Amino acid sequence: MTQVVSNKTGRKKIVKASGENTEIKIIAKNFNDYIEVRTELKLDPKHKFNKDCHISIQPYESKGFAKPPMDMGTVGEPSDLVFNLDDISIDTLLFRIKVVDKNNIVKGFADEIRPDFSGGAGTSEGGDGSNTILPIKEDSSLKLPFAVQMEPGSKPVLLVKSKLNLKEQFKHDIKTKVFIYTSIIRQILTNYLSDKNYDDCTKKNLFLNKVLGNAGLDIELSEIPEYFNEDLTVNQEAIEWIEQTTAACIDTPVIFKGLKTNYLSLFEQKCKQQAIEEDNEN
Amino acid sequence: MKIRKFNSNGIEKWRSFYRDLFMNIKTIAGGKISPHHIKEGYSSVYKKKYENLIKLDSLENLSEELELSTDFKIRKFKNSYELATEINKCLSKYKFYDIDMAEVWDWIAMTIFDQIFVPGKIKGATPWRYVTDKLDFASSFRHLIRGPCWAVNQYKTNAKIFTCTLPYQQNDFLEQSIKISHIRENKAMGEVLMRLYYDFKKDYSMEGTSKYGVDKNKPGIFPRFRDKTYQFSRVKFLWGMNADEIIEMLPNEFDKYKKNITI
Repeated sequence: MTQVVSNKTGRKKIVKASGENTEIKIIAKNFNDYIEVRTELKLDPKHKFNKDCHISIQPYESKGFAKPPMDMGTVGEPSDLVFNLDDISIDTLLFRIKVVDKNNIVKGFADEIRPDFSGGAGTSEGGDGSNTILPIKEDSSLKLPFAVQMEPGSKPVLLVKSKLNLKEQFKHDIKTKVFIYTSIIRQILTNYLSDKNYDDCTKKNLFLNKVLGNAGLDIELSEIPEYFNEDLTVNQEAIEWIEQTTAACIDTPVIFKGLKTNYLSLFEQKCKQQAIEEDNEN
Repeated sequence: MKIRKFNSNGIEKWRSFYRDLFMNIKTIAGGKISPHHIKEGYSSVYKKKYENLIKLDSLENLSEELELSTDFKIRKFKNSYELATEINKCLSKYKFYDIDMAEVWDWIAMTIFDQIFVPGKIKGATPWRYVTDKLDFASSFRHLIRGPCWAVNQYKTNAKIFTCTLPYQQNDFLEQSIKISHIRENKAMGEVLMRLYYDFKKDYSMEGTSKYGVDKNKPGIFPRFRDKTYQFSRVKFLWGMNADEIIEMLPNEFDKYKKNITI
């Protein structure tokens, strides 16, 4: 259930989105065994924070690592920081900034701040700049062969267990591709439709539009059925929509090994072919 | 004996030994693992394999000595706190994060395996208890050596609430806390939890305070503390507060536990 947090203490939101009004920018450079982080803080005077309010920044991952907050001075005398982080993946690294008065009351904040790697960093494959519907990335921490990495504000990423050559198999083996795509696209759509945390996610609409485009479905996003009924049971119409859209998306025409085809047909053809080969051997 | 760390060959052999043992236990259980299955699974074959591994370590150099380690006095440890305190003392010339590696924790696990793997008494045998998986953030705290050593390093004497259990038992306060960064990483929280939920007379955490039991609405226990402090953290900067200030903020439902600190 979504938690409603009131704002009786008048906390101000610090602008983290890049643009003219950005108040906090975090620039990161990825080296072999560490990440170098540099902060650029420019608090807007319109917040009218007291000059003696303290500023802190904290690196964290949404489900894992977190460092204690680091001091960035006061509103009157702010100081930008340069520091290194290790033992953390650049893909999951986030920051939160807080402005706190002398009674430890939070007066201003921003969280889920993603570092900017444009300053010469090596973003991993599958970063937000990629145009593909579902970037693939190898991950050695997976317990299962594949998984989806999803967070509000980020493009979904298909994770495949490293050292199993799955990334190559995904590219070249149609059966692997269809099995994984079926599961992952269905899961992403389910998450997007069911989880309120994605209501304001900018990447959600991009993904849905791309899927609808691939599926050849000419519908508006507003026509997508609600996942939950009013009595909080799951809406069967939404389940059916997810199934149909996943199938239509995978069934889109593609060029595979130089031939124009679609994945589902090719998949069915391969399955039938294997059955015939096995019969012949018998 | 100084504490050692596995080399690449050593750690592979340890992982392979424990994976095989766990698969044997799983095969025997054929479903949910019970203490009986663990006892049966750790057959004479596996006891022999374990002895061979210890022999191999001394004969074929499966590990190397940590130069700055002091003498590791192995004795029958009363609880995980005593065990972790001894290990951390031996490694005190290192920064914790410099020796926080699977090769160290797993070598110690192998060396005192008889104290942390006690067939007939342990209720589970999941590999994360004995084989460090640092890539899996939560699981790495469940290792019966790394978890307590991390807690003692982080909270010092206030780590008792996370380590008062027997060396072969997983501690539920540790299990519940590691998932919550505002509790896990904030050292004052160790003191708060000790003062609220530790029975100093019994030298053990208070029964029924780490998670909900039959009563899903039991007031003032750890899950409520977790939720309340999360809520407070949106408004207050908990990192800048000491244990007194955090306890002071807690609402009436915690009064019963706040009294604990006046005893």
